[in-house]
Amino acid sequence: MTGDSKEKQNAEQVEKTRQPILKTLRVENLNDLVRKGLDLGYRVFAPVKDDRLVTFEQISSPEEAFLDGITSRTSPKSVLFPRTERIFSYKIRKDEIVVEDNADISQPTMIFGCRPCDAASFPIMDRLFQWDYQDRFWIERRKGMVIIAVSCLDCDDACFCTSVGLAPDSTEGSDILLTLVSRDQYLAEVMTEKGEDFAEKTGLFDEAGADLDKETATKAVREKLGKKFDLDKIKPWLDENYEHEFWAEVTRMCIGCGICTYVCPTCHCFDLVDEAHYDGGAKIKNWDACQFAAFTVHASGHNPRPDQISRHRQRIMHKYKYYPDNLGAVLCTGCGRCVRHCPMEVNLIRILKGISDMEKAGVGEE
Amino acid sequence: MTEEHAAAVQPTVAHSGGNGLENIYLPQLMVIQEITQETPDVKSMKLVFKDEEMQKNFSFRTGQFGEFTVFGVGESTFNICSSQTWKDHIECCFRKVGRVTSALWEMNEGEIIGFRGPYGNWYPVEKMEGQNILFIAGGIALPPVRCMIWHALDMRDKFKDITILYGARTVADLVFKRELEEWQKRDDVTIVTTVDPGGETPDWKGKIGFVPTVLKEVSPSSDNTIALVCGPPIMIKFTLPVLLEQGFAREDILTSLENRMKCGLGKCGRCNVGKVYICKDGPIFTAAAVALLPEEY
Repeated sequence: MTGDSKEKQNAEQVEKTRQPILKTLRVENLNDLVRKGLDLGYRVFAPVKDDRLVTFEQISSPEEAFLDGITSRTSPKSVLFPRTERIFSYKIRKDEIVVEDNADISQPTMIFGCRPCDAASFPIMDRLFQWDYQDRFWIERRKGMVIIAVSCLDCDDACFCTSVGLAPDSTEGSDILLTLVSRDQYLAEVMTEKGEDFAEKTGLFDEAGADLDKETATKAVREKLGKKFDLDKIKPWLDENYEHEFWAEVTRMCIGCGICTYVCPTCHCFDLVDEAHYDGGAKIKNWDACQFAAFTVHASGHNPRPDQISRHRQRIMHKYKYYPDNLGAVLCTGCGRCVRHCPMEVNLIRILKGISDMEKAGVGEE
Repeated sequence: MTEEHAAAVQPTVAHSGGNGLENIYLPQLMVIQEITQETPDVKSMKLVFKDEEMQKNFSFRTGQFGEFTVFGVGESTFNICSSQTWKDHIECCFRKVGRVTSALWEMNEGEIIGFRGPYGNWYPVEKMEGQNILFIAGGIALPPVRCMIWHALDMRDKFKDITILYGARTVADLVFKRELEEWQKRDDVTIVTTVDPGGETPDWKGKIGFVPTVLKEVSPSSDNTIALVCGPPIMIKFTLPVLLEQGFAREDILTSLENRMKCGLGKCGRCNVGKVYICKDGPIFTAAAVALLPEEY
């Protein structure tokens, strides 16, 4: 079972991007696009408004999709990485245990109407799930998935995509990115072969004229977003300041509820538990969070991250230092959900602004 | 530790997932062949793969670990405490402390558990060959040392002097007692056992004192010597300075870190300490490597 090293496996990327092909889609055909997806046998997931909450759900008709919000409350990560999932089951017989690897993960899936920040989370997470050991649950679902994102024309105070190298109309992760460029027309940037294949199958896209430009359409929101901190200054400070009074200051209010990790499109920590029935059971993969004390506690009772300060620092370190160190990408897309939904108003933007300011000041002194 | 060794990554247990990639979370079935109660709350188990072919083809490196499933209860992480030189079975050793280990405690010989692995890196045996080896272990941390002790004893010619220092809180807490006696009888091994003050019995013939104190007393030479230290964090904390005082370089002190793990594959995030994943980059680290980590182990 031991043998060859698996280094080569990192070479394969799920996503292959290239020069976009520009097309257009008439606004009146948007519903038909979803309908086509459903007709072609895709499971379609989209933001759905239920009372006050907008969450990412599977839909069975285009009318269910809600595209007017800024970001949905929950992210589409659950489509590839469900909150809870059976990864195999087993039957316990008298003298034998039969393990059944019965996960059904290869259905074609369409993510419709997510924001560019959410689309960008997928290639970032690909790196982890392909890191040496290949997690088929993520990778195989990803292969059968087409992502049709819609550019933002508005933002709120919690949005900060432009501060982490993305934009309200960035194409990272999208197979097709739609940007509303006029009252009745979307510009469709077809980014991947998967996207091209899908666009062709629907027959709903037209060739785009050279006069179409998304920059004008997203200019206002881009200006409203501005830049909230200097990303280049974050990692250098984190590299040097694992111990710093700043951590206690900014995480003092954190109650460790873990909502930031729950709504985050890139938080991916999980737990593995057994669920037993009288004659068998299953192994279940559940979302977990570095914000919980039980996450790291040893069998002896010793906890290497014994307080909320160290646990909150871990979340920021992991996203802005460890992940870049190991996998070459910041584990954050600036969607702002953690800022929007923290019950204690712990504000990642304020924390990162504080860090980038300290780093700038520090460099100035030298 | 060579770079190659540190960067080495083990392949998964091979499973056919049916459609495309294998399911890396799927365990293999192992039969509990023999159970030994080591202390009032510690047992060790000999395990063989249910599938004979798999047993024949299985190989691992000394110091690696596995994920052990009690079906219906859960999964626990244990070091494979046998040596890679033993081909017909593997062993694990655990203290009854949580849900999974309590369930495992109740199991009988002949029953089936699940195993995923081997995971993680291993002892840098090539670097250790030709050197004196000083093994230091405390309490339940003998198993991750014991696998390397047997490895060295099975290839005795390749190593110079072998010294073992093993301490536990009380005489009753010493694990692998039969093997301690066996090592005591050998003339090619120096072994010192100790128990914490108050933990001795009337007929106790070993030393009385904490491991760092006894280490100072024994004062082993650091010349051409690799030290391998495993124990509770408090023991490591006080043993390390003694070794440094003794002249050991941090690069020549090895330990096996025991962070909480779930997947063992560098995905679930639990054992992430600094940029390191203990399950993937470890569990074996030099004291020099540990010194670079945030103190989250």
